[in-house]
Amino acid sequence: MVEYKAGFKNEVKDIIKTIYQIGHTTGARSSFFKQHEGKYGDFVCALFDVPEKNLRVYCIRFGMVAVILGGGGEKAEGVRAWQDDEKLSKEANQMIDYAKDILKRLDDGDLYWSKDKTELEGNLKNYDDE
Amino acid sequence: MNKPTKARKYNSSILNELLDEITPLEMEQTKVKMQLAASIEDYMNAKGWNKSQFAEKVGKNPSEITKWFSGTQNFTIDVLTEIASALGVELPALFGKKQVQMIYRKEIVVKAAAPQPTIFMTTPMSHGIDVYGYNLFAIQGNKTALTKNYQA
Repeated sequence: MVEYKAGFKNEVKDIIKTIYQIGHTTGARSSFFKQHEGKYGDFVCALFDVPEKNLRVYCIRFGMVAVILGGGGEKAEGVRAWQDDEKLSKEANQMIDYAKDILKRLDDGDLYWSKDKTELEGNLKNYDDE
Repeated sequence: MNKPTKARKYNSSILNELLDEITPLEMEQTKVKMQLAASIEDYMNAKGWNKSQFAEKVGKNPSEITKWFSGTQNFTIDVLTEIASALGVELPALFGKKQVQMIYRKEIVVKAAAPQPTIFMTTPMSHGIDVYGYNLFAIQGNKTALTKNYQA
């Protein structure tokens, strides 16, 4: 966020406002995200700013109730997909790896949903340290 | 058995700084746009239409509908009116306002055998169901017999 605060302040604020409303009002409706940004079935998607849609924030969306936010970057004009941009590729691939790991650990029971189904609990680790 | 742990709360001075810069009005504008998008999509789903079918009804491309549902669209009144018309709802319903539908307006005339006043009593009644499915039953205020309507 530090790197985009200066150059894309309004875009970052747009995404923050969207995330705030998702958390407080609307829930994580699929229409608010760009779907299928990752591998088939891994729930990786992206949030974007308005109106020019310069930024992408990659995330994992678990239905309407939970979103795991990852990193992102600028989607410059002429960049058709994240695979065409080094920075976006790094962030998207990292989120795809996290999704793979998290989904496996959910299957294994290492991670599980809280009773109200809104929080991940269990053997949590800090993925930033990897 | 793993010891249950909860995620730590994320705290960032930059995030707090940016949140502080967002005015309540800006936040409300985002909220209205996102709720409106959700409402239109819900009405479309209730009709059993997909995006392509809805696009056809309103004469747009499906990509335009995707944009509408993204929660970022700044709709004009004309477009909203067109959408409401296609969905068969009143415009305020898109904003989550209850749809009040007049189902009858009954005029009751009470006549006495003796030469006593005839009372005209009008009871406009309405029955509505709001967009969230709550049943509402409302009786409008003008339900009392008025002395000026008495007839000899």
